[in-house]
Amino acid sequence: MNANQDDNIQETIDAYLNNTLSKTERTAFEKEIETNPKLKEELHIYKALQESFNENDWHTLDSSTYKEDVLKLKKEFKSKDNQDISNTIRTVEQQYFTDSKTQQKRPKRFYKLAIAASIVLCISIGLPFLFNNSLEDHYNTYQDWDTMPSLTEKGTETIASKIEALFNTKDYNGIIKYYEQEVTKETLHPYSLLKIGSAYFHNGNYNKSLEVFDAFIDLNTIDSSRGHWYKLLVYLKQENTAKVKETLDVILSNKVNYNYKEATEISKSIE
Amino acid sequence: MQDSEIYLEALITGNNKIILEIYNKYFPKTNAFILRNNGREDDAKDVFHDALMYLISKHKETPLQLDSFEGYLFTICKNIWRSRIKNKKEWVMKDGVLPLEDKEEHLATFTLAQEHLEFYQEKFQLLSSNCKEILSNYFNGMSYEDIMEDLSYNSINVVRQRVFKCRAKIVQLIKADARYKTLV
Repeated sequence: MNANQDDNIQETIDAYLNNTLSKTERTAFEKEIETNPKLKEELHIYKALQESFNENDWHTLDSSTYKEDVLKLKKEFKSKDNQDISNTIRTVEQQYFTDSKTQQKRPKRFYKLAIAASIVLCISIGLPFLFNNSLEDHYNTYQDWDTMPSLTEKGTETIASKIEALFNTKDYNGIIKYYEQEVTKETLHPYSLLKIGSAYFHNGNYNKSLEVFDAFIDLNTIDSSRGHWYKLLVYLKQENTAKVKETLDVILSNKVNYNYKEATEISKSIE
Repeated sequence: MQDSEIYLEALITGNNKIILEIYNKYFPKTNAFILRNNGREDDAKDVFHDALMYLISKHKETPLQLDSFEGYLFTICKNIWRSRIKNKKEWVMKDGVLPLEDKEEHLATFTLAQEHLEFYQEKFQLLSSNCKEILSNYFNGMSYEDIMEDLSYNSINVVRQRVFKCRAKIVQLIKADARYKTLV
């Protein structure tokens, strides 16, 4: 194979892996892979390299090719020895968290004293106790439930479009009723989860709302940082200072996160 | 005895006191990483547990010689999280959110993939520093144009040629290793 041919093959494989081939070109290339083992091998290595060295990706092995190896390792991890070690590690993990909680509790006494002293000071000098009020104020300033991403689907009614329609008319009871009673084991679009989380929030069921936003975050879609923002709104509304700060830390850990700028403003003003 | 040997031995023998020391020293970093990358504390717990199980399995197979226990443990935690993110689906089941997965199967699949990754990394280290830099940028999604500007090349075509040559070199190194046949 000369250098030009080699370059052409690399170019085509790149285009295939980056999804830039036309439908016809793609079909033709896939046909060629089936009849050309060398090309198939080349494609396999390129894909493996691209996925392995990309920090935001991972090269998942084809389970059918490695079935026996996986079975062997699985058996090893399930062996009594390994299960015993696994249980020991889990016990230590629990101990670690119990210890951490105990350590966190101690300084809280000082905080309580400090807060009590602040209240006394505020009252004595005639100032309102501002901090918690400001969380509610922040909620009012920054809440943006109306700008949630929407799905515009045409044609037959789907679960997503039904939830969308109920959300647009602010029928939060309708969304919850529909979700709890009529949606069974169907798949849900991630954006529908946002609407459901919002519906629970507006009905005052904050815990359920947070649970649904967590489920949204777990999906790791490109939009998943929105989940943290909506959780922040819930905590602001609840005036839960600790959780507000914790959630702000998560949002502020990456500039590309949804509403990073707004989170920075909130963070500065409550410092 | 080095720290890494003490820790690996403690993991294999189930020494609670030293395993707790591992948690105290290294769990917070993993937890912070997972929280920054759209995970939760429960995810961090599972990832850290699985990383320790992975180390135990590898060390039992062939004693590990680690320059840094912390560095290797953190790399494994990061890679387990990468693999989990890749496996997660964009669609969700109403109850339980995602179908239950077989934990041991996930760990087994990860172990194999990590072996492959370490083999590729070993070959990658044999490339020239220029090839390493250009391929690292390319594999992480940088465009030819950005690589050209970043590494001061004259044209996109020159960058493309360098990427092709460097990649052809690593593929050649991979294929020339006898272990390649057993891996694929």
